[in-house]
Amino acid sequence: MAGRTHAEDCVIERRLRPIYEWLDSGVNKKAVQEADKVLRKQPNLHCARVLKGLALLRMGKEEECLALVGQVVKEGPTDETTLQALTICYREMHQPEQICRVYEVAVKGEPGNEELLSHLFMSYVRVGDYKNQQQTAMKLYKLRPKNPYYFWAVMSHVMQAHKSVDPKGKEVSLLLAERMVNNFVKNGKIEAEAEVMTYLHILETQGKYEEALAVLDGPLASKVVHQPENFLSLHRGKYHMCLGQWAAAAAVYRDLIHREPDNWQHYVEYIRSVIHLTTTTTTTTAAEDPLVEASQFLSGVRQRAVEENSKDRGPLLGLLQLARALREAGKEDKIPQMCGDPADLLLTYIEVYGDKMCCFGDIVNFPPLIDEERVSGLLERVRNLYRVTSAGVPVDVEAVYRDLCWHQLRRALGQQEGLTAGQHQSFANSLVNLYTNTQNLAANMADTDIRPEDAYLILAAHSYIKAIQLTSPPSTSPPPPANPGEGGAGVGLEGCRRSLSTPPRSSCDWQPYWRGELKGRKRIFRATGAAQGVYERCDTKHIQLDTLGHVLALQALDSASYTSAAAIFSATLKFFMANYKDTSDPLIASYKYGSLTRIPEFVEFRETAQQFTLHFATVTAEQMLLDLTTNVSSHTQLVEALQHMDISPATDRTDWGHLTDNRDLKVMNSWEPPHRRLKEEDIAASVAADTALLRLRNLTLRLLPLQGPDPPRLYLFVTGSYLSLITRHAQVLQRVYRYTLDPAGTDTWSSETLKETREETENILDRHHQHVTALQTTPLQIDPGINTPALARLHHLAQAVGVAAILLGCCVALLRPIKLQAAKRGKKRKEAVVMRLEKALVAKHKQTNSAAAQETTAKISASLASLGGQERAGGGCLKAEEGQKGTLKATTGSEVLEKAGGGCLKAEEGQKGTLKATTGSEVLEKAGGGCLKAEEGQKGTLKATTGLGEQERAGGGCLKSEEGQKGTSKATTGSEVLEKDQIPCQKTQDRQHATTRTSTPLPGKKGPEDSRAPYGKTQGDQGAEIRASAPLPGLEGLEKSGGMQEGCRLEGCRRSLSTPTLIMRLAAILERGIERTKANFQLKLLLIKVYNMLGATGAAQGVYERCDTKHIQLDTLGHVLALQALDSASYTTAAAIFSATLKFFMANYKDTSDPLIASYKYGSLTRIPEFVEFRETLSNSLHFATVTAEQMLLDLTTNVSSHTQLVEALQHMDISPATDRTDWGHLTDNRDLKVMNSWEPPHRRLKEEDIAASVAADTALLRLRNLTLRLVGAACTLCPPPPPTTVWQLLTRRIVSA
Amino acid sequence: MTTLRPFRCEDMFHFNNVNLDPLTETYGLSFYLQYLAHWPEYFQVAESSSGVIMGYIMGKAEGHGDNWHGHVTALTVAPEYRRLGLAKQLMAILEDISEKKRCYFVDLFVRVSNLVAITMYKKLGYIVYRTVLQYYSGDPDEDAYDMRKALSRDTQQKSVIPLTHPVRPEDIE
Repeated sequence: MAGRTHAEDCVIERRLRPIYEWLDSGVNKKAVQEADKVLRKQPNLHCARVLKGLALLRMGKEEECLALVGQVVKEGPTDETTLQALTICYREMHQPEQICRVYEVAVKGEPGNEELLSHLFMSYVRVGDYKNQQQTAMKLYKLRPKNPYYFWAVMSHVMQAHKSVDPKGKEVSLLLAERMVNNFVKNGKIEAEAEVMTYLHILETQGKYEEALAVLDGPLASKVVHQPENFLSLHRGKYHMCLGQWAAAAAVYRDLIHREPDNWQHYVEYIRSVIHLTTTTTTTTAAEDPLVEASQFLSGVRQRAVEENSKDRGPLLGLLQLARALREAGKEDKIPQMCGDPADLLLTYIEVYGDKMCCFGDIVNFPPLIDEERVSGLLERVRNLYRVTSAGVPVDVEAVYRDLCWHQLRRALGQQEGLTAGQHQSFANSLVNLYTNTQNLAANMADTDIRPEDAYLILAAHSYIKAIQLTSPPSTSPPPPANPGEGGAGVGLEGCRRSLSTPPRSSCDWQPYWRGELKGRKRIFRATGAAQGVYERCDTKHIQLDTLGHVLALQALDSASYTSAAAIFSATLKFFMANYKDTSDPLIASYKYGSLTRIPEFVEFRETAQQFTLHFATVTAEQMLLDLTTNVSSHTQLVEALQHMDISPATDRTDWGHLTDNRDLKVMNSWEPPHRRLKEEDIAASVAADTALLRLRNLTLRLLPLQGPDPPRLYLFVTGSYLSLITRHAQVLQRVYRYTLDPAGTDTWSSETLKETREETENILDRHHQHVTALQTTPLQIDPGINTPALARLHHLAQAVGVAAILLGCCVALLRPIKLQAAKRGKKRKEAVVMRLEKALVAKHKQTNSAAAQETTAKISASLASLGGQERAGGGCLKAEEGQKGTLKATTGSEVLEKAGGGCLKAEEGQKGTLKATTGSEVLEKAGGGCLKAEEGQKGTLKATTGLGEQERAGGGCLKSEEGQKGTSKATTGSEVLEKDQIPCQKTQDRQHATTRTSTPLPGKKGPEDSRAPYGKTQGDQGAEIRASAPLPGLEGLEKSGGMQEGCRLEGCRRSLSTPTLIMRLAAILERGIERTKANFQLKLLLIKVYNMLGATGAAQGVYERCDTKHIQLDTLGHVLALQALDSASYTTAAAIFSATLKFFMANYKDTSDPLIASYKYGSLTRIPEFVEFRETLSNSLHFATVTAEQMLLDLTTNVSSHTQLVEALQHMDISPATDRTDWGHLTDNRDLKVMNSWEPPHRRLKEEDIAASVAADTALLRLRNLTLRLVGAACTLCPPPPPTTVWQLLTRRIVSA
Repeated sequence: MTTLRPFRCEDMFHFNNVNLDPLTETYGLSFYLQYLAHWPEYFQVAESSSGVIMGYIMGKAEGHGDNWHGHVTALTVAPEYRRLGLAKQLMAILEDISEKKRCYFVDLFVRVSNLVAITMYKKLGYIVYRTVLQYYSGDPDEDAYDMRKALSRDTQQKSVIPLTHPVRPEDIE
């Protein structure tokens, strides 16, 4: 389009304008129409085509857009408007690299175009291509010698250094940058402030503080004109500090304090430099003692402030800060001499500023300075600073603030440590009274202000929750040992802690001990022996130790499957080797291999989780395998395959290292609360030797302060055997796959695995039954200790079952071809699915006449139902195999079992006359976990088999025993259905159900949120019952605090200390407080916490919405609700929060690259590294990664009901085995936990290690979730291959569709 | 008792105790970052001795000729740190930088209902220059006062002669 005349340009611009307008107003359809109109006149107009593409993109038609835009790009446009449009397009497609390509081509066309070159530079900025950035900047400078261009190049060098991991490269880049600036300095070319700032930045980064000081002293300093007053002094002080020139630094800061007596950072730095000075210099005379000098100086400042009655608070605290610093430096003895009495200092401060809301916040760091025996005296004096009525109520607003300060101080000084639950409660009651009685004092406040008395409520809430925490353990004894794993978890955790505190060797010894004691599985010893060898050869001892901790913690996964774990493992390795040989066609080989390697990875993880020893054995084995294959020339295609796959065991191991580096003893601290509950159980029996230790540790248990992170979700997940369920099914899939590769394989296949899988499935369902029961209590018995975990467990179960179903679906997809071969001779039969759990739930509902928790239960069961549906899908697909029987008639049932894959075991009785007697139940025994099909239909003799008995037995809800229907629907063969339909089982079921009961819905198609309907349908009249009772869920009642209060009061009469009563009263009180002071977000945050304790996510969401969190707050505050909603099965809420969160993070890319460009344009070059880091911090957000993974799992397990849908869904997800872009080593925790007020005494305050522990636990869980996802991805690639799609595309689609 | 320092990106992870206040808007990332990139010296934060963010000010310099002025985009102080003179300190920084940039005046917009803020600005020497109709969207839309204070460069105080008629948002440049 180059070379157009001006007139032509005007015409084009006029024609394009409507397209832009439609695009801007979001009417994309019109924009497309308008573009088409223009293109009819000017078919080749680049810009119109790109804009049409953009409109299509925004309509979700990404492929069409790509085609259209790609064509334009090929033609190499150079006009500004088209290039701009292309930029927008590629940005919205999250392909910023393409923008570089486009401008590269354009610049080649017009090398002298300054505008194009600078756009090219900016396009490199977007992708962080610093090298090209630098070269382009220099080209620009040569074209137009402007200073900014030169400094763009300088800064590009700096950024190269910033990114460089190699210290040498870093040094070189920085030196280059410095030399470039030096050149300019020498030639007097420095013009702008930004250039001086950049120079300082380069010198600072290199640690050249002397040179930087010289700049401050030199003529360049005069160029710094737009910065705040203290800019130069602050830098000077900083440089002196860095150089260890304490005296000079102290002088600078002393001067700053003179000038800005209220600027706190000056005090901190001044005192820091003085303390350093005293440790480095040895003076004997008092006159020269820097401490004495500092003391005199700070006293003088304080004196002046007091005399002048100034509003500066800093001067009053200077001496206290000095005392604090002396204490930290171990020079407590000097405090009285240098600072006087801290209690007096504190009292003076409270005297002056006690009537301000911030008073306690100002002095929060100083209470530890007060001697214990002086505490009560100080409190007494603080109490006497204000007047109260005879009833103890403050007389005016000032007194309210002072009273609050006194209460807060009392708490922080540990005066309420020893209170019992009852005392806490009555204290809280008195605070509520104070709240009520002081409301009249500040009645005329603006709505936007926080009322002074609100703080009484917050203090009361803390006390109530303390009371609840103290009463909870006895009153809400946790579910009885849900499974052996739970006990195992406790022991495992304990073992883990032990091993962390013992040297590596003994940790190795411990493990078999625990296992052996607990499980009596002797196999382990063997493996341990092997691993010990590996262990000793390994250099990375400390990492191993870390890993061990992690591993042992996760060992709690499941107690009963060591044998199978070992089996899976060996099977994997064998499978690997077999696979190598079998693959002839390199492409197919690499493909298959590529996908399969993730199963080992998963298995490997599993091993790690279960057995530290086997994990390393796996790694070693894999390592050796890789060595083998890469060194053997005849296997060149395998080498290629490996490269293709981008798996490197070394990397993998590094990841583990990273991951486990985060883990430490403290992780365990955070697990302790739940762990303590375990103590109550009888795990002690097996670990008699360690009960003492266990008790000891329990003594140190501490409940996290209210502002602390929620207990890690990992705990529940790990104790629930969910992962084990999944791995078992993965194992089954593996077998099936192996079978399809080599039907005549020699691997001895026994029904054992299937049996175990089935048993496990049954067990896990049995175990979760109690949680359903737990939820069916009356609302007032809903307890923080029971309700939430029960919901979470059911949620996890639902997901695990969903994933298992997907794996089984894959089995079926693999077996389908085999079935097709055999179909002709296949026998006809049919089956239906009955979900046991569903049944159980319905039964329960019938029994229960209380409305309590029914909705929740209904929701859960509905989601379970939909998941069960998937199981059915899987199970149904399995029917495909019956067809084989005909061909296999000669084969005995057991032989068939060997060939047929795990999940797709087919009972083969029909084939053998001798087996006619086989009962359905026997079949069930053989059939694998979820996918057992009773095959009685085949045998006339078995017609009488009752369905019900089998249903009872069948695991997971995916058992189908459909004898009753046989007669009526003989004509429908499972295999026929399979051929006709992609979702065979459902159809089959549908037809069958039509003849028998009410129609079965296609399960799982709808999200769980509206799954009440399918559930109802499934269950026919029973469903109606549930629906009727659904509108009165106990939990939602909480939102209406009025009614609830009533209830509370009534209930309160009966049992004043019961936890539920307390917590609901608390909720009511907080609701009232918020009603009164809408601006008080502290109350809101507290209330969210309280509702979360109850699992009342709906109510919590209501409050959350009132907080109006958006943008970055989704990252920093999302932790208060997002995952809690998920775990309490409030999928609608979760989905809404998730989608907002993902949207924010998607925008992050654009939002953070624009400012980068602006920085270059406006010369704020020194901010660039900060922006880049910020972008990384955001995109590595643990919360984001978690939400992404959970979202994908949620999608997979709730919205996928057939294999086709699965493949389709996976196309949208970036979970192909080869990609895991999570930067495990650098996940960031961006939660703003400290937003909540807290007045805990120092030892109870939220500690960094608590946060680190929760981060580590969450990271571990994320790792598990990711591996699960990847397993699904890998499983699916065994079947039809999904084309790679990026996660961005997935997210885009999600948002577009939303 | 306050540390006044330039705002950093990471402060956005911790400014909830300020931003959860209903009158303080939380903008998209790009908004803050744009200010940080373009007018970093105008974006200052006040931090308490215990490291809590007490408040912050965002501003910019813009305009041509004798309309070259400093603008207060956002000024907010967390509830518990109000009535300590913090806003005054933050405004002083902004005015100081605007002086250095040779601006003629500083201006800001405030909800007509926000009496606390208006009173404070008046105390700092600001006058209501004009009313901007329905400047704040909401239910219902709310008018804004455009308040101004002349700087030393405007020796004639021309920039602070109040307009007699209100203007519409689209009329302000």
